[in-house]
Amino acid sequence: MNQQDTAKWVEKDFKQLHPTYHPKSHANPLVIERGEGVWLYTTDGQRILDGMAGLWNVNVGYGREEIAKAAYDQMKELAFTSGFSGMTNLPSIELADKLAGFAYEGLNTTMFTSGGSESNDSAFKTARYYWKRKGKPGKYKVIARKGSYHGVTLAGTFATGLEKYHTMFGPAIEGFIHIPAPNPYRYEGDLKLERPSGRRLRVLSKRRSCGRARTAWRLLSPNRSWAWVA
Amino acid sequence: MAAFIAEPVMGVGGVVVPPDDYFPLVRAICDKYEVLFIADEVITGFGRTGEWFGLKHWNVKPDILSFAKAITSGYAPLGGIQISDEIRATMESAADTEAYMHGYTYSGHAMACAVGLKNLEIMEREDYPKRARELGKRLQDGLKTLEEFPFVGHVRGLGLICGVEIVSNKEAKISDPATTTRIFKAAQERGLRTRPLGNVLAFAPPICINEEEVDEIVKRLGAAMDTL
Repeated sequence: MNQQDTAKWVEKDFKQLHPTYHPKSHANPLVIERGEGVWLYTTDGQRILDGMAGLWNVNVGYGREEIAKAAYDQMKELAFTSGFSGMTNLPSIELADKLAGFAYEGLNTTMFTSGGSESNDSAFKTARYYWKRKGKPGKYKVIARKGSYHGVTLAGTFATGLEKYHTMFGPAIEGFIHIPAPNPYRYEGDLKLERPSGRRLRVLSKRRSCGRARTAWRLLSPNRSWAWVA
Repeated sequence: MAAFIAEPVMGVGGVVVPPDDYFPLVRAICDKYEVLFIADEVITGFGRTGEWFGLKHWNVKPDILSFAKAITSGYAPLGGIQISDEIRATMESAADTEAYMHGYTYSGHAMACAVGLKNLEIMEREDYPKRARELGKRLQDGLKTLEEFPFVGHVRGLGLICGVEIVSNKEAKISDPATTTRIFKAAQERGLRTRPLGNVLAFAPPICINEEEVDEIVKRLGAAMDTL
């Protein structure tokens, strides 16, 4: 293909709204046609080293035939069926079994989603579920960190600690609290010298909130960030 | 407080690697005050940082693990959460009215899970955590040579996830998103795709990358910086 073809693709592409879209950032999009290993090939003949593995995800690189074959074989056998309570399928059984304890000892149960945003939304809902089952329905708030990114579902958006993701989508969902995150580059001073001697956990204040006594704790981390736990 | 959530290495926020004692301390506080620790390992999971999962670097275990992305290397849309045995137990003992009424049409999608299994097989066969450690060191060492440029304030990373922070003044560490965007564009013109995150250029190439290609990233980024 050539420049003219690429212009036509870009014109057609206008019918699609892209994630994080702004006309300025999408004024001259790369139109990708093919990938191999770490390399991407555009419709106008560019060969680009993908230093971001797509969106931090294409670990094994592009063009792996054995994965294509696994997808083909499974689609022929059974592409999809309901996985709701009461039904299951063989690949999901095998993958959940493979993942049991794979990441961390004691995490032996997997619930699958379609991607990271859904995963974080599921994590928040599962935390709520857990505390309700433990008879503590008042525990529903989530501490996240400034600068964090946790996806773009409505809950994920406001768990995210980057304001540009909030600007056009407020009002914020209640119950997400953001604390500073440590950034060693932005820390001024010597980590070792600044480490507080003795107890690192200190009670800083006791306050009343919503009629219930609550103790607010702050953690002094060596880079002078404070973590709150209430 | 129900939960604390954090990315082991902050991604979109600028590839920030925490000090070594941060997550062990957070874990201790979560335990003391009965707060669930959610690890958002959507980016750091499956070998990227040089361990299969990010919190392993600090010997910390979460109660809930959030994952996606590299479970299939992007060959199919798939993610998930993993929960502790204790959380699972509350579901097993739930009353009829307390079912876990959550989940998606594509939870456990047969084709996506088959792709995940094959992808995991490849990553284990090719020892990806080790690869990410070794090639990540080469990438970081290479990127550090660019610190001679007056606007490269900081080069950092963990395994094959790296950040190059661009500043207008090295002493005052003044963020420079405009120069970051110019470097990003100049790099793209030289056939290198990075991602500008404010004033940080992110690098997280496929872990199948070879040494020559790692050096090519440094070379092309250097050439892009030369044009400024």
